[in-house]
Amino acid sequence: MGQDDQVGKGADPEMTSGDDEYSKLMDEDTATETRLLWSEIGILAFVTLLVCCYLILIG
Amino acid sequence: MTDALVMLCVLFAALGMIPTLSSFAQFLIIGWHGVRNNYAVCRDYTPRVAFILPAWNEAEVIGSSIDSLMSLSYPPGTWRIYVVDDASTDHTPAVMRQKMVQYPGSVFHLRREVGGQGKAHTLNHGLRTVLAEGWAEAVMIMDADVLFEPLALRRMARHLADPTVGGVTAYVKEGSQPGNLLTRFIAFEYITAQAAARRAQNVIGVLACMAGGAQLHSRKNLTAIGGAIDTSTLAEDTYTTFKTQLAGHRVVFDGNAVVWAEEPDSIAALWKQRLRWARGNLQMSAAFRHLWFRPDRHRRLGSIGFGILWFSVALMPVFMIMSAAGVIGLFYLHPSWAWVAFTILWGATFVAYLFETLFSFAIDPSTGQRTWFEGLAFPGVISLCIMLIAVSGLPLLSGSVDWIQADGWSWRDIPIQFILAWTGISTVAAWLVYRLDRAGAPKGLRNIFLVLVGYGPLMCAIAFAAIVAEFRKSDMRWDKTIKSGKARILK
Repeated sequence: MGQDDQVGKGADPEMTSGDDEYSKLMDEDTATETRLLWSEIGILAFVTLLVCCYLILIG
Repeated sequence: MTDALVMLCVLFAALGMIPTLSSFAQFLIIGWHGVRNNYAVCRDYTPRVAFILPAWNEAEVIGSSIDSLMSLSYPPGTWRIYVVDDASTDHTPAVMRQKMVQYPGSVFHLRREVGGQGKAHTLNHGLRTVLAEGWAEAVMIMDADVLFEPLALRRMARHLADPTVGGVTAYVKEGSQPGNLLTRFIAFEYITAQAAARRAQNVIGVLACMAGGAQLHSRKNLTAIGGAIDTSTLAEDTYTTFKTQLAGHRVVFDGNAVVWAEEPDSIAALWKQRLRWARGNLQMSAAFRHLWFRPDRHRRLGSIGFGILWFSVALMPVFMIMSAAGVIGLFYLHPSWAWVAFTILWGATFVAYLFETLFSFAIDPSTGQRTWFEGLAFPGVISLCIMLIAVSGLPLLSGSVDWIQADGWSWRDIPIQFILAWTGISTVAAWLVYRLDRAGAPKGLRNIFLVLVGYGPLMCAIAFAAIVAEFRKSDMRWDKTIKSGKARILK
């Protein structure tokens, strides 16, 4: 049983070796998480700035 | 006496802020996931995986799901698909016969001759077979209509390299093509409820729910939780998630492992699906009542923070109604405090809305691009107007912040009280939108009302209906969501 009859069917055509693909995957995903961290910092700074401006205006 | 009532109203108004604040706090810690995540302990691990697909009359979708699974990027020969056919009466068996010929030795058809007991029973039939065979090192529990991106399994499996991890879940995205306003609302909701919230839960080390559409378990974990899915509640996926964590295993959400699903395209169908989920959550609250706010019982599930997160969702309508009652009470007892409470409540909501909406677009830019309107309209246009009234000092009504006057009654009190009580009224308004949809109103009309009232209040109304259904001990029927094969993997 198993997919022995299907060898190669599920493989990504661009897959050169498991190690390379895995490293690429990890790099991509780690970069995404880092991007989210910086996005959050940026958006939080923007919203804080808006709130500060608002408080100054109504103060 | 009046002072006590005033304090009670202040307390109610303050309690109404709990869902907003807990959601905001959750969003604040998402970024930390860039530093504190499970990737550090992952390695290239590709266990033998058995996919279990419960299917009842899924002929329209099961074929494309199997095709999507067979094109996974994963070492050949290391995954199998078991379709547990819950006595389907459509041509699911015929589709399965064809797929077994197309993928010999990889696709299996497990037929239950007597079905209709619900998803958990169907899954258990598959689990018994898979665990008895001894081949699988990990088991993927999923829905029959879910489409996996080629690398989704690889991304999920790497976490199981860490023996402390018992289960991994993926980011389920809404992929109906063509979509409509409602499915785009759901797509945006999934950014906030999954891609955002579950990253935050990764950071705090406790997950409320592994999505039933894509749950990867190690064999060891399934054995530790008894080798079966609980059948006593409507939230079998959440129950499994709790049991896994109680068994001492960690559960992880991988937001980069993406699967696609078709979600309801009518409010009536969405109501049915979410009512089941919301009732399931309430049943979970009761089933694990010994855990809540008891860190001594379980450090994570019993933590105060997780308890607040859990109940701010499960009991959201209660908080909303309390908030409305508190502000209206203040309007009559202490008008100037009503203004302060109103401004703080809606001002904070506006700040949270702004931050969460912008950040949600950044978390999943491709979905954000597709759902920007639904993201902005998520709380509803009426709520947005009220937020603007609150932060603008109310010149829209009278040009003065002293507009709240309870002395004597005037016609102007009607819109004022409507605004003050909107957190509660919106729940009723959302229920009316549902009734409108159920009555067969034109989609255009339904959409206008949905945008006005908001998708958030609709979820709140469903949670309220769930509370009522649980109090009335309504029948626990498994109302299956009908899928028509509209889901696509969107790039």
